[in-house]
Amino acid sequence: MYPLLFTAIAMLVSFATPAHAAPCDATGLTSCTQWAQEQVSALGCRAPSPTFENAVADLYSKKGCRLEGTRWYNIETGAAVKGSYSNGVNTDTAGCIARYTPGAYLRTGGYFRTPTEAINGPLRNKSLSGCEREDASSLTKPMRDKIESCSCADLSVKPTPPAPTSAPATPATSGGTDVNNPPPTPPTEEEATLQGSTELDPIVNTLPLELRDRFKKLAALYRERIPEGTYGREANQNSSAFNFISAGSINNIFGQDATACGAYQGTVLDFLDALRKSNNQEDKKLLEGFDFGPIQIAGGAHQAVAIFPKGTDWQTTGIVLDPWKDQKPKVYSIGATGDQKAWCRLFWLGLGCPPKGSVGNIVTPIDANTGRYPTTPNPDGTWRYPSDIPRHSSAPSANRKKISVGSPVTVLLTAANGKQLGIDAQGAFHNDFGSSVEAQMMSAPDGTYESTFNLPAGSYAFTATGTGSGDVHVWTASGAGTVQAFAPTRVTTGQTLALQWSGESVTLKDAQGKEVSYNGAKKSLFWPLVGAVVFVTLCVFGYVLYRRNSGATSVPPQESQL
Amino acid sequence: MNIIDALRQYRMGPFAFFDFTAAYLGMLVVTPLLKKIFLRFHLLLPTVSVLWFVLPLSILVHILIGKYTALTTMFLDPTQYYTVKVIIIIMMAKGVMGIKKAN
Repeated sequence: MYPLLFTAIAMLVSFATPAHAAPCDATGLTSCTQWAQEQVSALGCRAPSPTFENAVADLYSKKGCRLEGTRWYNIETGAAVKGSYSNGVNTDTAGCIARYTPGAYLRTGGYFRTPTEAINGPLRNKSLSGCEREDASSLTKPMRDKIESCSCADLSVKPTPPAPTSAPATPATSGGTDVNNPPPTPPTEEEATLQGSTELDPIVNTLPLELRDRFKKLAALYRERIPEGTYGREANQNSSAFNFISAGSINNIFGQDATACGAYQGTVLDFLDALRKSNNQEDKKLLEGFDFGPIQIAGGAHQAVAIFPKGTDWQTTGIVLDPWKDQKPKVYSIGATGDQKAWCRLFWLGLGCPPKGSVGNIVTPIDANTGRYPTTPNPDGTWRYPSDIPRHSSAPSANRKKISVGSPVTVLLTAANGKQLGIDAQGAFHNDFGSSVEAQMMSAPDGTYESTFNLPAGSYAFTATGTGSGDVHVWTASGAGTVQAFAPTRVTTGQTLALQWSGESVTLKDAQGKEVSYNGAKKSLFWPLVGAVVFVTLCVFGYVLYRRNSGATSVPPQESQL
Repeated sequence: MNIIDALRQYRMGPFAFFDFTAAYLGMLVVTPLLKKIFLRFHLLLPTVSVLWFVLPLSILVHILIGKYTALTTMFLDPTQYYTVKVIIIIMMAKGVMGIKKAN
């Protein structure tokens, strides 16, 4: 009975032990917070109070909420945190959103769930921190590491070392200011509004003149209020996947439901609906002259939102709000504009623009969104669908099988029941699953393809056909299991790779029919070595015990009772 | 969802009850064979020792095949989950201590 008891204890202890190290010395928190604020100031930004202090304190003291994969939990208790939305404000069972999100931002419908989001989020949001740093995550990483490792406490009291001066010559000055290196001036309101306009302007210029300014403001709000997905970018920076597939694909393969494409579609629709129904007339006016609605492509496998001038055909004039691919609020033109690739070509793999099979501003009705749009008011001025209804959201990734392929191959996937998804050898697109799958098949910047599938549980096989020469990178993940990264496999044009996935067993065979290993050679050598050392140690231990016992066994001992 | 996936959905945190049950039942099934093998080396292997070995052996096997389950990862993590490591080592030691020399 004892072995079973020990097993139960091991399971309980492992599950109940929060995965964190010992907290730091509480006396260092004040100076640590001060140092962190200095770091933010050095970036030309301001740290919102008191949420920034809360975030630093929780990182330092190993408290508050964290995200681990799809799991949002309280680090002290290990209990899952559940979020909800009521009275126009996001909230949660642990009070973390309220602790980490500045009040003004919370009232706009935005939220930060963890200390990391509370530190990075404002730095990407001009109205919260005075700056808009897309690279906030990498900028603050060293700072966050120091806070978490308790090595920040004595940093703020150290004088900042003077900047190295390689030349003895005194720089030319004017009134005490280095005219060769003038200090950065904070952007004016107008400049700040126009940040990112290089990308946006060509899209805005496709709109009628009277709508352009309105859309710029709308786009600025969209960028401010739609949360960035951290899981595809921040949480997996060391993943081998990071260099080969998009942040969206990484998000899907590692399993963050809230920032998969279907969920993002719902978030963007909520944002636009909140503007439409806002009591603030300024906000409400932003949508004047526009219609918007949910769109989907590739037979329902990828979802986003289109906004377009009233009375026009969205397939020609639409602007797509699609945060999924880069895991941040991005704006695309439905057709090619400037240097930007057309959104429908980006996702349709040559299926053509405008997207086929669409009717009005609804391509194909998406579950609960059916009949909800267009947003044009009734002739009497009332809205046709005044109440909120649930959005189409991603199927919970815990029950899904995910495959991602970054490579010069097209992929045709076949389920056990014969349903197909992907591109066949003749270049024809298939989706027999409709919107019960999420799938993105994109052309990557280097001319190769990226295919990501998020599938219902079941058995699958795929054939990947080479469209050029190069390495194929394949990742698979099931809801409960770990991500399996297969070793890069060389293909040339026309060669095929075959993957079989039945139950938990996944095998990938290269063009020669040889099985491809997964999870990388470095890891597979290191841990077996550790295991071997542990095993040998235990064997020696066991041998010594055996020698000690072996002298007193003239009569075979009775077996212990179970 | 196939039958295995269906059975594995009953979990305590990351641990599927099915995995643990299958491991113990599997070891019980092969116990007579293991006893015979051990007897060839003049060692008595009690059934209870086999049960003590289930978790340590399953961790070892997962390490050797490079599949890092939740328990394996916890056992190998050098920074935390010390209780788990201690329990597994105790189980290994108890298993070894149960083996006796046969006449």
